[in-house]
Amino acid sequence: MKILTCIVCPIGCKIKVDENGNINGARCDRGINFVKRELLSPQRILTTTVKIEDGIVKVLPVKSSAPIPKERLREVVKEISRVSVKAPIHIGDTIYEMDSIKIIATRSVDKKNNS
Amino acid sequence: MKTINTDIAVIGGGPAGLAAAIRAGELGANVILIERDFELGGILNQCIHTGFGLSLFGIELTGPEYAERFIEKVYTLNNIKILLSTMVIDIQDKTIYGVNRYDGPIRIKPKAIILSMGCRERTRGALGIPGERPAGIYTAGSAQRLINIEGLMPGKRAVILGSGDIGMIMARRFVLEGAEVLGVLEKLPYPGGLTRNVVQCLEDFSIPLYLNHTIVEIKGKYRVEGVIAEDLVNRKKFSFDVDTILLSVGLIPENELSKKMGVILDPKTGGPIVTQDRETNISGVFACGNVLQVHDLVDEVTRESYIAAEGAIKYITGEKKEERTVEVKPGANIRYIVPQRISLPLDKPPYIYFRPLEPLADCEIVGESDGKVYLLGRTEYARPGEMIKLRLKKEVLNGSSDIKVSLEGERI
Amino acid sequence: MDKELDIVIIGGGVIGTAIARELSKYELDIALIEKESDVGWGTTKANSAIVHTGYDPKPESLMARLNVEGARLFPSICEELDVPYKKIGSLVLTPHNEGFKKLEELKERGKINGVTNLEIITQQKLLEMEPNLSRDIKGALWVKDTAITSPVELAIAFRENAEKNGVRFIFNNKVTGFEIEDERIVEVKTDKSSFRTKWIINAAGVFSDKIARLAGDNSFTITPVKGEYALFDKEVGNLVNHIIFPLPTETTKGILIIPTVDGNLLVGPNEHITTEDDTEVTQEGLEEVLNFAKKECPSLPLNMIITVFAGLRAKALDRGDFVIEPSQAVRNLINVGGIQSPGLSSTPGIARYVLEILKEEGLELSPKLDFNPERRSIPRFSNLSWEERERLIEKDPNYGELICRCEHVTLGEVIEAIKRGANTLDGIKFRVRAGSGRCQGGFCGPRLIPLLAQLLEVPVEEITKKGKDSNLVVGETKE
Repeated sequence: MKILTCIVCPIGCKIKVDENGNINGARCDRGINFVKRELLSPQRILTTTVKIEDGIVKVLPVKSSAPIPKERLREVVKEISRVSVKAPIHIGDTIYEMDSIKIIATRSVDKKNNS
Repeated sequence: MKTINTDIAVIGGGPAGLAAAIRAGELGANVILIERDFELGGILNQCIHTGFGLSLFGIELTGPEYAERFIEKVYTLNNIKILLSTMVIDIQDKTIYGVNRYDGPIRIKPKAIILSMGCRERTRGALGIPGERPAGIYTAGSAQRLINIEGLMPGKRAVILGSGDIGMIMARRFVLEGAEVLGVLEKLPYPGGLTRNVVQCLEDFSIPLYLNHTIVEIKGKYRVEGVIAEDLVNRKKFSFDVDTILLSVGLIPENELSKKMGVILDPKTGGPIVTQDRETNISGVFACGNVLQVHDLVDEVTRESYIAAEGAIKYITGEKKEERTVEVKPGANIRYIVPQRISLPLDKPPYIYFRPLEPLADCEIVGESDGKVYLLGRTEYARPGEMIKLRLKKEVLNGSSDIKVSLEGERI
Repeated sequence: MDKELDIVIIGGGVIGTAIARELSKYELDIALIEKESDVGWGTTKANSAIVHTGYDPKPESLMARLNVEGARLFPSICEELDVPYKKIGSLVLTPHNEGFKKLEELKERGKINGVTNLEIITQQKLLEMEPNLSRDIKGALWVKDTAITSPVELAIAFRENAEKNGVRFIFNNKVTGFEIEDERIVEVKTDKSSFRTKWIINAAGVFSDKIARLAGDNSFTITPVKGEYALFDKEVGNLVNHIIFPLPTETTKGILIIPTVDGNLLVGPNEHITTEDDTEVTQEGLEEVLNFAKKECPSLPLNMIITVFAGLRAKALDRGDFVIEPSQAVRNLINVGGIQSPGLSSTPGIARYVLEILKEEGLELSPKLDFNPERRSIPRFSNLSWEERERLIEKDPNYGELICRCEHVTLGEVIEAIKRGANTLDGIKFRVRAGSGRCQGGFCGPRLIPLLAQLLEVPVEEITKKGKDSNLVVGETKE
């Protein structure tokens, strides 16, 4: 019997899975799907920052456009730590791609006004 | 001094101020939105993680994404004037005194004020943790600003005091930036923040959560060299070899300006005492967001700010009529309730927001007034880290001068 | 440092900097050597900030004489140097009727030392003056002329004025030895450099006995005595209107409640012998200080503490007084040691006394004709009227950008502080108060760190809190 905490929404249902694969305790379908995925191959959305030049801010917050395998988080973060983009950036712009993973900007950044 | 007259002044351009300004603007008021940072967004700009907007938009967004929706909207409303890099220094008799480098001192005379200044964090000094005063001690929010806005890394090996959401989220952030987190220490027997964060911030990265633990000494004179932690159950002490300490030990609503105006605060929330319209004891002064009560979800901040804006509009149009108020008092197992007063007559049934004193299960929410006891609602779990929202039935408020709300349930 | 200096001052606390400024009135080549990155970071930054009147020290002692003289000169020095000075008065409380005898003794001693304006008051008057004190207190000695000041700001002001008048300040240099020839020190050696000089003044605080020993002088020993403090939010700054003293004991003035010049409330210090590098706040020490103060002032709100800290008194217990005298071991060393309370109060008196000693020892003094005694502090936005603020911002828009929200400090003030020598976060804090408010730098810290790097043109990982290895960040994210 496994007890998993669903992380899909802030409620955090405690979902029980028995040896026969019966799932109990989820308040919604997303929880059921989460548990199925979590047992097979856990996934997470990655959020981090990358360097940005010429922008009104010094770092650009980004996220993976879809959940990525949990065990690849650190590897992906390391790879995009070398990425640097240039302003202007629009929210949603893809700023890096690797394998099937897309990293997108989570805010727009205007060019710095150097007047 | 430049003087600006307006209908509604909103102090603070974070999620609360943005929502309040937009709703007030949509309802036709002339609004001035005052923000001390160089851009709008407030704390959301540094909250680069997900967890925002699920309730309001049905999709899970990061802080900046949530903010950008509102920032885009606010710039489309011509009746909203935005003052950036402007700090409000004083409020006297509803006249707001601010300053920025372009205008110099500015005086703003609104008909109504919406306070949305957010919170600050409790500090090491306020905790009185023994030791020297080395570099390397940061509150979690400060560290978050350093990393996510300034692009600077506070240290290499950290321990985190406090298992509130910010603490846990920063634990993950630290690790993803290549540093080590040796543990999160929580003095209570249960985590302070959302359970999902225990999973996706701590368990995912094998960061140990030490419940019933605290820091009793900080080592290092110029830079942190370590901490001495104590297990509060068996009183055993042990040390962590770290160069950084992050503190996530409490948020304090930033009501210095409110106090200057004469707004009365509730010692249990640290924020103003308000009606269901979020009006404070001063007519025409409203409060919403973290300055009123520390929220867990920004979606609720937005909803609360809409309510405050609607209240401010009712005030300036003269629509608001108050015949009497009912005091809402926290009873057994409840830490605080917002709003603290219900203004009658009602136009719609009000919601109350509260937190339990400790985790309970199979709960009944009970109201007592005029000697009568009402069952107000039920909830499977009640946790201090998760605010509960409950609609009050109108009949509960008939005839009473106060209502005491209690929580009855099983200790978890 | 090739040319021989006239005077080297060891130690940049309030005493060393005061001596530097006093001597800068004369045509002398002077350098002050300080082991930290800034002035005032030893005892000067962790004491009660009180200018005592001088009723308390033993009559005929050097302490009594210099305290009274220093207290008398203090207001004009603060005026010249634009440093805060507020005469708020103090009360020595007695919890029992027997204590009135002690208060009478203190009043008498004051008279002998030349301190008047002392009045013994009963409980009724006391509680009128101080409604928040405990009703158990029977009465007090009202010392009307006690004042409060800002010791680090004073040291900074002495430094700025001394520098303007030609004194060189050398930081991050720890004195390691003396080169002695024919019973004279000819060279002062530090861990980074060396200085040839005619005269040496030892104002090294808790390390002054160690400095003396480098010259073979064992005439005094410093016992470091730690005092712990708690600083309260400005909201409770007027819980008391005067400085509150308990009855003094043989060794100490006791744990006090002190309004500060900035409007905070300070509680402390206790007394515990320790080592010269121990400024740790302890759990027991903090409790000791707070319990004592709460007995005198029951409504003291412990949840309004914004920070705690500790300082060291440099006590020359074997001598029982200030040790300000020419050394007997070498001919050109003046010791200024054992400057415990009333050290701060005596500062102007000590500076003059050292000058007298140098004269007696044969130093030729010709007054500097262009000596400029005035020093203006950095404009403090939070203290200005709106009209003054408007004028300031017109001249320099940086004064319209708030960087510290708790203390209302502007970018203009921070830039000026850096111009005047602040190169650390604490250096900014002590000059313009950014970071000393209730959020303790939580808001301004992340903004000041990159700003310091930018203005000092150094990599951001080199920016420190207080010099040495107190670096604040390890670098940019993404290495």
